[in-house]
Amino acid sequence: MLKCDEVERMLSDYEDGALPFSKMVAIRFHLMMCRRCPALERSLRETIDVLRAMRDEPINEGADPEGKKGE
Amino acid sequence: MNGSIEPAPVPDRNQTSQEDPHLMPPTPLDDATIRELEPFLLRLAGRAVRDAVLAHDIVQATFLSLIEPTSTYDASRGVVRSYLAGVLMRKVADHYRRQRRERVTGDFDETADGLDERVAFDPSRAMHPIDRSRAMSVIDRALSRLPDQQRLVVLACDVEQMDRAEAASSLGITEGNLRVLLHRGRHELRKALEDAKMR
Repeated sequence: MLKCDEVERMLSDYEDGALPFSKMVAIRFHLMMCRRCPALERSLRETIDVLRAMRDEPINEGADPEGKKGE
Repeated sequence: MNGSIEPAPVPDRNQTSQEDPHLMPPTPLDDATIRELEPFLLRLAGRAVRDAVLAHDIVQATFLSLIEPTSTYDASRGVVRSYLAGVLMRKVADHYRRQRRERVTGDFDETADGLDERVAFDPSRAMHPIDRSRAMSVIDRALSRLPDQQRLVVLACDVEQMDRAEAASSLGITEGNLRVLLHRGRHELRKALEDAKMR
């Protein structure tokens, strides 16, 4: 069975279905068995869902107008 | 009729341009297209560069790319919106490349090894659900703080929903590099969203 840190590294690709079938199955199996990773996967999926919903939304007025990195 | 001189016909510019592809190649760039797509492109550019004036310049250049002789737009291969989004992301990436020549950063030099970074996550911490509009606000702010290339990759892949190959091509990076940047960017945004739920 995959370890949590291995799953974590592949979750972004997993969400996009960008992994080989065997890895997709292994991660799904890990998510069924693990206590910690399903919450991480839900959280990442929620983030991606929000980003997709932003496509036709106006830019957030509160966003950093200068595009500064996390300084 | 005798002795009268028939005036030479005045060429109708519109008619001529429609009939002669050498004078005016067919282009999907008309007023309706501009009106329809300009708000979308301004939003995308605005999120990518966080500078309204620069975003406007990039959108104008993006539209102009359609009528340039070097335009590769092929109506049979896809809708103009997707084509213009790809062109826009390429122009934004070019903008950041020019900037980086002055201040060297390593965003494009990241390798797949970057995926080895662990992302702290503790599901036992108490969380409070937040509504969608607040989640968008939190993520939009966090997006503006991401390193340039991470932000562009997230915008291309998640907001604009380009496929990975198309996004990598538009941004001039490899798919492996895009994968790393996407992983990092998404996890930073995820952390920002989880932090907001703690408050």
